[in-house]
Amino acid sequence: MKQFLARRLFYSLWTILLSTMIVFALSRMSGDPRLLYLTEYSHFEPERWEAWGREMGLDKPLPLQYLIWLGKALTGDWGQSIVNGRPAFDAVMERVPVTLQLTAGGFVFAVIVGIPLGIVSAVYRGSIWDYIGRTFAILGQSLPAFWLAIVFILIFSVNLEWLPTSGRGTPAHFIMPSVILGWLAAAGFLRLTRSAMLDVMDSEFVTYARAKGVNKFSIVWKHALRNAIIAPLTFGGLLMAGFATGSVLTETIFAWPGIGLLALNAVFNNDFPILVGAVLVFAVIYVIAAFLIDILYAVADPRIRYS
Amino acid sequence: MVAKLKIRLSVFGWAAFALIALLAFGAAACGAAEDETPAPTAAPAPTTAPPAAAPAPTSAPTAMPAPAAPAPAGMEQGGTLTVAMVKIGAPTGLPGKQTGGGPEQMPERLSVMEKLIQREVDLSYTPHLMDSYSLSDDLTSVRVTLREGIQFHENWGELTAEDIKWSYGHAALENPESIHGSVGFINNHLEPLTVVDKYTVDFPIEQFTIEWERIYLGIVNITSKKHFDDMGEDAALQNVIGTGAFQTVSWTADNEFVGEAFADYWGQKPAFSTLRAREVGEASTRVAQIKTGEVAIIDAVPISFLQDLTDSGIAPNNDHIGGAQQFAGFGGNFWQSEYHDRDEAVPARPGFKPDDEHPWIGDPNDPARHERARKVREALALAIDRDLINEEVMLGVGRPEYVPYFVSVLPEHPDSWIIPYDPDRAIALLEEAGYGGGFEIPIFVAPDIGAVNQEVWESVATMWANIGLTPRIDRTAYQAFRPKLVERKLEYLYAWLGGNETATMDLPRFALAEGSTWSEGDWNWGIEINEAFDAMEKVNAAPRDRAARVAANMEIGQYLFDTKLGIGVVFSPDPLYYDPDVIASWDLKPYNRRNFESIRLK
Repeated sequence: MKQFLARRLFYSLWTILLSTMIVFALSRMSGDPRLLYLTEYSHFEPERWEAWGREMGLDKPLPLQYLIWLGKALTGDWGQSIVNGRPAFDAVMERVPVTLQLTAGGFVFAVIVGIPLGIVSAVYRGSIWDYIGRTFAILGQSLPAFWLAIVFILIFSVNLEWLPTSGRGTPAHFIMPSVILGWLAAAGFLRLTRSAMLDVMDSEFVTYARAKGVNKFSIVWKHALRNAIIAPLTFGGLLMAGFATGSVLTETIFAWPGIGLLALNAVFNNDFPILVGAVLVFAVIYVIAAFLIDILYAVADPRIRYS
Repeated sequence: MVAKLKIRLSVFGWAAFALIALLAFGAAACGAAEDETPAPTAAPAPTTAPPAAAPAPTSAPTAMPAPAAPAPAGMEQGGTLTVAMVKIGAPTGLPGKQTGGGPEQMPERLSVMEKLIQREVDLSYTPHLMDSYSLSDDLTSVRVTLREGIQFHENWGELTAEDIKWSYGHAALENPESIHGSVGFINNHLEPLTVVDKYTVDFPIEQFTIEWERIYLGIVNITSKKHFDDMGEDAALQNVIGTGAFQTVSWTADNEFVGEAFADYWGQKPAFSTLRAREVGEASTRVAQIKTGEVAIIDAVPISFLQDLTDSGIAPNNDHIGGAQQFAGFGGNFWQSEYHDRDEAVPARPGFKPDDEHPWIGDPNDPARHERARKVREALALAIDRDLINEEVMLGVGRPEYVPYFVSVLPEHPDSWIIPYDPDRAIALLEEAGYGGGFEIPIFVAPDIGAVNQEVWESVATMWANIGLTPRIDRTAYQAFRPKLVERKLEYLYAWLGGNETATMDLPRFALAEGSTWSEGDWNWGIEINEAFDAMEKVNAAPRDRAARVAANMEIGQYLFDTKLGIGVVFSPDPLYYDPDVIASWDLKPYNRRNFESIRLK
């Protein structure tokens, strides 16, 4: 197991290093970074332009520029925001918990709705509950989140006045963003759980348990679910990472000041120090989540860790 | 077996724990995140002595005396005004870090920082932080006499001439590291300021412009030199210290500003104690917020919401003269062969491609092609039904526009500049130019510049498709597209904004002159013509002769109309919206200020 963990850790670090190379290369491919600072009325003198380039290390070979950049990045020096001169590290890191908060909300919604509905849908296959579950899944997977978000705001905020339109602060602020973020994932959980449960419920050991007179509750929740949960669990880990890196839309509509919104603004402003920092954080979150999933997977299925 | 199972469960448990811990971290951070704005720097004990008696004036400035400071209204304790804005941005208290757009605008928009001058609804200028200001007869300097007794927030003392000199110096004149949005512009026009006495400061002029009031006195936000000296750069950047009606309680980047009424404000004191401004990027959400009563004011809402909002009892207010002329420049027409200021050839511009793939690009060295390109541009101008766009897209509240930077409501705007809708003539012109079979015509329409109206350009594209062309809208993010403008690579249409009613006919049009080599190394709207810079020079050269200035502008306006290097479409108003059930009155001023302090709540 230790060898397996060491191997996975090495791959994870290597992935992060590769992602830094890609991020750096993309930032340089976008053109001369000095151009980003120019506004309509900048009118920089040529001498200052050159001096600026030297300060930014643009006169050095690209690999050296990368190493300098990497060294700074590892020590938290991600440069300053082009828009307002704030340290990019501070600007990005203060958003991480905000996004993880939303991620948690979406994840909890997806799990507590998707998995039970998937189980019920499988156990009562062909019943009204099954149809309700499958309808929920189809809606979640087919309705665009941005449209759903605006419709939710119209219904629950403007018409019914039950929930705040946007922002953070109270538990009520969590409800709509969490549902919007988690609905698609809940649909995925539902489908995965349902199909896994259907497989397990048809297996011999379940039939054997039934024959032994084990009650239905124990068969479903103790025996069948424990065997069927592996796929949804794996899906869930990557899903959580996906939430953290893909909540831009939800954050924008609900004015949730997370890292996704920050990254989106950075794209619009061409604020590369912020953007690079955000992408690095995204990469690290994803790699950590994948690493944890690998461990869970190995624990759940010994064949993987011994292969 | 049991032991092994326990060990496995243990490992499984640890892994699951780690996964959950990541989530818990987020949840645990919630509390901290809600208070993530760094606490405002502790206000130091006042170190400044009470204001000394003002020295006797060294001159007798007669021009532009300030109106008497408004009688301070009694501040009603309590009450919060909550507004939703498309952008709050990050706190940026240092003038030299206030890049164009948000960082420069927001401190003033939120009534935290102020400028020396203010524009009134009739477009005149009045002194704001000043008692008076005057331009010397030889046009070489401006003398400013400050109001006495203006206090900075958090007990940072009284505003003095040193603060003015320092703020301008940091913004541009004495700070080579400045990234202020107008750093080069300020440096081109002014030299470092001279402090005459505690309340008097001179602005030496390097290059005179008839727009001296706006450019010399209305670009830089004023902050406290002492705050910077005592607290250092980082604190001065993050803790925005100004003289405005609201001092910062918290300012969470791109999220929320909370300000409290500044008890020592020199002007009209707010009638409510707290201003809460939230950044809400999505227009639909802002509209929902004002309908539900969560906020009392919203901005930057597409005009398509107008009917819905007014039906819901929400009122528009356009006293800030929001809105812009939607026009497009025919990029690639880099005709200037010599620099505007020296006898030197301009290098070949990458975007200058006068060929059959770019039929709108003329070539002064090839008269036949030049004329064909003009016909193409004229055909495109004639194919736009401006009245229809105004009625359908602007809901009738805009108006047709024709010549870039010369809005059609100007009294001097001649009827001869009106471009009729004539698709048959457009088709005939295209055939005359040899392009009867059509061609592809890309239009850059910035998706992230709120004032650039997407629907207007989609309508224009459809109208051009109706005369047999193949329009293609390029929606690259503006900042990503911008290097193409700086490097003179633009070779197709560029949808942009051509000013509003404040651009009177006797003022120079700097943005127009950006279509010359004057803007070398900077933004350019895809065109280089000597005439654009010459017009600005002519206007500036006649500071005492309004008729000459108007004549110079008419000349360049006529040139633009004749060449059709740019074509106006409509004027799109951009009102603010407020809830009349909450707001009783609001003395909104033009331009950037929102004058929240003038609001009286019901």
